[in-house]
Amino acid sequence: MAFQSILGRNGFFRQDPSDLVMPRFFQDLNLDQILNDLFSRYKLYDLRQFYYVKPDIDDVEYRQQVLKDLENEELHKAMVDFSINMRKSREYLANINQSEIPEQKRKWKLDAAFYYINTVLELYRVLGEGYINSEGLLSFRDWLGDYLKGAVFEGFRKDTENLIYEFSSMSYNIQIKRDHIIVNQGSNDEDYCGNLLALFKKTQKESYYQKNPFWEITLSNLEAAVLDMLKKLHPQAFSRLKSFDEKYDGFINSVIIDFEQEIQFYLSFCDIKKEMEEMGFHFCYPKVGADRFELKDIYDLVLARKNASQRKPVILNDCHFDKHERFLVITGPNQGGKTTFARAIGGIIYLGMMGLAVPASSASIPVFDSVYTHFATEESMETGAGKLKEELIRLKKMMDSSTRNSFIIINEIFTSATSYDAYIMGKRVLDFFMDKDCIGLYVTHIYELTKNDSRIGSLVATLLSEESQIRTFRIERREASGKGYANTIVEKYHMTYEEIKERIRR
Amino acid sequence: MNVSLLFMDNEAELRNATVNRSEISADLNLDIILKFMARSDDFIYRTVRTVMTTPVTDKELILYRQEIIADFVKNHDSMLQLYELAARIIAENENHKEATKRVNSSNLSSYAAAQNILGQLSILVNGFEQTKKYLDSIHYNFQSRGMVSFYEKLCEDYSDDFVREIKESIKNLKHLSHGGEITLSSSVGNGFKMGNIVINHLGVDPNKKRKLVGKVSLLINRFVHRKVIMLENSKIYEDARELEAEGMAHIARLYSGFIQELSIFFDNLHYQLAFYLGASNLKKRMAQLHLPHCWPKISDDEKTFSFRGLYDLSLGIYNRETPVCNDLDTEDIKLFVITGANQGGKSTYLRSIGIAQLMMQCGLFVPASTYCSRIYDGIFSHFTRREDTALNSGKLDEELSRMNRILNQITTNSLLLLNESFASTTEKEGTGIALDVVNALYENGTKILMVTHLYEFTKTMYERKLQQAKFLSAERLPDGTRTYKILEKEPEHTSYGLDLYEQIISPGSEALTLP
Repeated sequence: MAFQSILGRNGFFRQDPSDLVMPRFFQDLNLDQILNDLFSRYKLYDLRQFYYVKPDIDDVEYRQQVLKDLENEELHKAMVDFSINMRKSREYLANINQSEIPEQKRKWKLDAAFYYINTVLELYRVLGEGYINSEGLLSFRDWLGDYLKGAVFEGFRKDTENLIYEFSSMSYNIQIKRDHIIVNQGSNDEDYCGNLLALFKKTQKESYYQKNPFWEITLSNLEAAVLDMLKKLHPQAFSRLKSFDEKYDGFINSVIIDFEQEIQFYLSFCDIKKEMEEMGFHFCYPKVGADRFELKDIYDLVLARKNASQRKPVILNDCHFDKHERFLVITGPNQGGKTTFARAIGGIIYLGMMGLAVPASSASIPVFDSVYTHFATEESMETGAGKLKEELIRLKKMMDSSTRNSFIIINEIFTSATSYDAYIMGKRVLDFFMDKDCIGLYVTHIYELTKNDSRIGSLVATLLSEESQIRTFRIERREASGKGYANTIVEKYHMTYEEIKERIRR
Repeated sequence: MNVSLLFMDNEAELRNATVNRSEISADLNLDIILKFMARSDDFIYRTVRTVMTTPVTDKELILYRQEIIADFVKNHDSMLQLYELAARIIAENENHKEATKRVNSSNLSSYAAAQNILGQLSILVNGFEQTKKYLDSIHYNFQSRGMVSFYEKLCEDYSDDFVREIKESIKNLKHLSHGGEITLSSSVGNGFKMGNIVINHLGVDPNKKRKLVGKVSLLINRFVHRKVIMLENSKIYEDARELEAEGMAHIARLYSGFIQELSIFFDNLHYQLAFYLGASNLKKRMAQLHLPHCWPKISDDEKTFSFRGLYDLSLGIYNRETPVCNDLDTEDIKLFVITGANQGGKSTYLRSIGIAQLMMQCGLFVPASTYCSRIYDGIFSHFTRREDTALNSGKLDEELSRMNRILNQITTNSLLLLNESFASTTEKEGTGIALDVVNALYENGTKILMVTHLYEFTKTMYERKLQQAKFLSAERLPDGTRTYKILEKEPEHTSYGLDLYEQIISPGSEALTLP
């Protein structure tokens, strides 16, 4: 099938930017913290149009393959370079409008064309290096091959290269004397800086060329004077430049423009992934559409990044739903990692739906059409009835808009109600969603909610010991009780006899 | 070039021993010694503080430093002059940088930037010449491998010819601003901007002052046939000046690597001389106070640990006299448990060993008449903290968190000094923790010197009849007089009643050895 889009086998529908709305669950899952950062880093491309829109289930694997290809450092770097060079080419085109001199306008166009041609040729070359296995990139390469071999492109390339060659061989040297300046044709072979570097026995090529002090896009007086001379010396070249300008316009292919924009979706995600992997965190490609729900060694991206910067360890957790289970109810002490756990799972489902890699060592996820979250709004000053009302209104909306394929995350709801009321309401909420056949997580301090329903699994945030209140941030499948395990400071510092013997190794 | 006086080559960092730097400095009262070495020179103080708490693990390197120290002691005055010369050049360079930063803080033209770099270059190159000349006049006195090869390498890396060429080149550059010409080549760049600009040569004509011209003639040479275009355009002339200034700045930048190289050279020289001057100061001043010292002997079998007349140097400096000295002769002992009366000199004893070991491992002489010890790859101290004697879980937490940090770093080839550790909880709990920690470390091979009041602990350890453990005690004469000597002695089956009473009623009541 002919290439449509790198984001979807059958194309990717671009929404109008003004229609783009951040999904509701982004904020609750802290996805906004990670993605907004990325959006501003990639502000030349509107990444929202890619991250806010969920693809067809069929495209999940199509995307995973592309992302896997981009794990190859060479290919990744080539894609980044491709994007930079495409931008450079467009920048040269934009320079045309800043110039007043017709010859300079034409030259900017010629330079943009040359940049563009080299960029796409290089892209095609890299894609042929054997790095790619994904259907998306393979079919893009086929398309690109046809485009480059076409007569139109071929003629355009020849015209451009010939003209570029002609101009780049016009070198000159400038002698700045006390009362006059002499401009000679051809370059002077003496090399003052090279001799100086030889004295220091150094070879530092990168600073070899002197900077042009006339950094503006327009020409300085000196450069304009040189241009005037060149015009007189090479009239044919300048007339060919004029006809090039008349002949070629809008030479950048729209499929390539789309590809350049859409590949940013993957490149930007690679940034997150690489950053996390450099800090020692893992990712895996989830099996989306599995008939079971099972995650291993999961962590929350935002917290992991924060902890790593403070050199604090990050706890990994597992999570699975048994066949008959619909909801996991998570209880345990405050600050014990319950919310983080819920966030991590929500994030994994989102990333999985998007066809991206997830922060886990293995993941099987059923198909979900969306994630619905209900987190306490911290900034809300309301307490008591006001807060409860606000919560219930949000809950009602969620109940109405979710479907049987939605994943539900409810975090610390009804905290302003009495425990008994909160228990009764919680029970009803759970029953509602479970009767609808939804799957989800329910974080609460009311452990009675875990009882007497085979559709509910009980998870507990564990303590190292009840007395020390040391949290392990491990969420374990266990009867909810609120009782921890006794321990001492010695254990906190891993200073038992056995542990010390383990620790002192050469 | 590298100044290799503190280290023999560049792998230096790999051979440092680990220490718990800030704790050990406080526990061993190192500051008294450091200030004594510095003689109110703050740079020497900071340098010796770093070097002393960065012991090395290489025997060759220790001997290498010992030789250099001997050279410094012998040539103290000329080495001091060399040190002051380096300090002056660094200061001059810094002042120049500061001054130009202030003047040109706003928009620095490339021309001015080039002038600044030229100024810096002159200071450093002249400074280098002076240093070289001074070394030429004193290098006959060097005997240590370190100083001899330092001088040889200096002559090799910066030959007189090289220095002359550099000076010549600087002179040329200076002339450019006063006259002469510059030729640059360029090619047609993107959008007809100048591209690939290369400086071809500087034509120097120092006798002619450059004058400003209103009329600029632009000439084009094409093969033999020459066109001349006269332009009434002073703007082109300005552009040309700008291009020239950029060229100068570019040349100046090429020098920046060399400037950096020389700056680093002087910084390193200054730093390394500072340590040896500190050492030389120490030797001189110890002699004035009649404090004995000796070169330590490094035990190659890693078993012998013995000394004669070892004393606590910080206490000696503080009291301006030699304190009580101790002797010891041991082979293959891993654990020393030191018990006995309060105010009996136990902490001082621990300190004297810690100081001697640190001094030995940074290449210094040691405060003893003989000292023989192995090299450790880690030296750690864990002293009880007097400032918060309250018996609560927070205290134990603090103590164990410090121990935890040590355990993160300690190896089987480390030395650990424990002074009344685990005393911030009940004796029963303290004993339990101590038994676990000490036994685990002992079995793994770490060397431990431990002052303790935990009687149950001492008793249990003694009854185990460990092969590689020794029990020492602060001497106390029958009439109760303390001699401050630490002797090998079987621990008392019952502690002295009064002492025990004191221990229990007011834990941690032992006064600081230093008032």
